[in-house]
Amino acid sequence: MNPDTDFDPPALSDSEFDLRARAELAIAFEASDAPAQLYLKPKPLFARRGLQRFLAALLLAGGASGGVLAVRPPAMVRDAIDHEYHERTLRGSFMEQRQLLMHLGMREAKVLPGFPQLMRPCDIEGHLAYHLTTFFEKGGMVTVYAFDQPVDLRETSGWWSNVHWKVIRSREGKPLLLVAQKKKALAVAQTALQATPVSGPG
Amino acid sequence: MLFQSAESRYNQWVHEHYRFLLRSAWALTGSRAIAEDVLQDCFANAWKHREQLRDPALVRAWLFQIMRRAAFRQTVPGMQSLDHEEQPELAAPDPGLDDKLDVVKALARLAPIHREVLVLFYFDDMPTALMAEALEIAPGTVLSRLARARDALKLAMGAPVPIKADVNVTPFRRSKT
Repeated sequence: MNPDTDFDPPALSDSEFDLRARAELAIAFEASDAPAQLYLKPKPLFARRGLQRFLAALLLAGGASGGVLAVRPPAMVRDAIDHEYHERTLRGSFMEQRQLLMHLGMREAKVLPGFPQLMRPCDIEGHLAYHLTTFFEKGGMVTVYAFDQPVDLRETSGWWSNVHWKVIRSREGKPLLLVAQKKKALAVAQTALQATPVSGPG
Repeated sequence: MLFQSAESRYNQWVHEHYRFLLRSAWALTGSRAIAEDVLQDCFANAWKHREQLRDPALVRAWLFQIMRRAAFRQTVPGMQSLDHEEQPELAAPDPGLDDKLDVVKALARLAPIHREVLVLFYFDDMPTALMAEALEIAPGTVLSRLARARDALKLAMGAPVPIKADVNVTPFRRSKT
């Protein structure tokens, strides 16, 4: 028996066999690092589509909310517009014409301007206000609010909640808030309320 | 990292898993050049389908899954499936095998189905659950396949196998000299 040729290798236990296999495989399959071209170059921050979309959305949202805030009237005007909306179809005289003329700063006038539809005292943002809804033939329906106490309303105008509004001064210098669906009606009402004493309807 | 861009996540995959995948692909295909091509495909596919990876903890297994598919697409034409055990002619060793280590020669003679489970076991010592994910089989199948693959490797290396196992070993092809 030739010991060189008839050599029977000793049986390897699992762990010995596994160790040997691991070691030999590690030597045989020696791997290098990944080539540089396999890596992705990070995109510049502003070239990222997600960021671009986010900025566009932000710009749009900012523009929209900025636009809304720019046309948003003071709280008292908003409440008056809301009040006008709810009482748009209400008709009747719930106070003396003379008294209303006085609050509108038209003491010397005999009649209210236009064709009065509604006269009543009401509450606007916690302030007592006198509400006149009247119809002008050349303008349309206008709602006028006269305030009993001094209120902080600057002479300005705007559009909100699908109606036009304007703050003017009465002949006595008190603020009057006009609300109408047509802008033209505001101009007609302003002329009637500020100019010469009104002597008759229209 | 809380906010990690897709590119940096991908680059991290390449950095962390390239070496393991290259060795695995090399062992599966028998050629380093093919393995490098396989990894190009593998990472291209991983980037393309990166949204499919739901659990980041499974990234290694997921990349292996992509790699093994790419490997068996790119290897010998006519290779049909990963899951065919009976393909002795496909596991034929290359002519230069005689210069290689015993275990490499033996590995080359095994069926692909055994080779890939051994690659995961010896190169990465991957947990059974992850191996199951990587090979798209049940964990129980992983264990039985691993046992058979180790027996096959032992047999191919000339080591005695305690119990006669149903193993699949391709006989050596002697290179013509």
